[in-house]
Amino acid sequence: MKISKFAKTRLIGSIFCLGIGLISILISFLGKDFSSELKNYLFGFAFGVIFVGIYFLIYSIILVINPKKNIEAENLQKDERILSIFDKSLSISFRITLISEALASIVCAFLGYMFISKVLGILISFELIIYLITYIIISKRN
Amino acid sequence: MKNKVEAFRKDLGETQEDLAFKIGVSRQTIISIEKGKYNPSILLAFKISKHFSKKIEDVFIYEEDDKDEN
Repeated sequence: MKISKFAKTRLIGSIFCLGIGLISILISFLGKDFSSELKNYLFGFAFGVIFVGIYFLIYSIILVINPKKNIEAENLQKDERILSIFDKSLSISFRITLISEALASIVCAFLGYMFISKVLGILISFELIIYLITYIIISKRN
Repeated sequence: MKNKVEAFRKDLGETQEDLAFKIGVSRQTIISIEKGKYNPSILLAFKISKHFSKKIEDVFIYEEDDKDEN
């Protein structure tokens, strides 16, 4: 049975997610010095990742069994209109997130939460640097 | 941008899903193109025209007062 590259990618992704989830559960059980909060966090993270892994596993099995579904899924992946909507949504979300973080940073500074304000400030700087780098790379390619 | 995608598609007896499958896009994209809500890229426009064995200007009608809808 020939497995398409698209289905293989999803299958590898599902195995990776399941692996990460199982490792997180192991760590949460084996970590003797971990606080209960950290253990709960690890367990919650593991649960989420395992859920995603199982979803992708079922999805890749469906793609292998149904070749037409596989082609439709590949078409959806490459569809220019969907990619355009995705890019525009991401662009708007990024702007809203940046503005929200900036406002939160200012509010935290005024309220005396300097550590949170600084962390948000560093995060904003990092995001803007990443944006600048990707802009330069993409503009050089086009 | 106005187009005759729906008319040519029906001439061939194809559904939107059939056309989407053959062109390599989603059915929603075909629906949007037919309604004039989405202007395809030149590559996609050529693919659609070639599928219908028509010239691109016979399928997609450019008018001078077309605004950028994308």
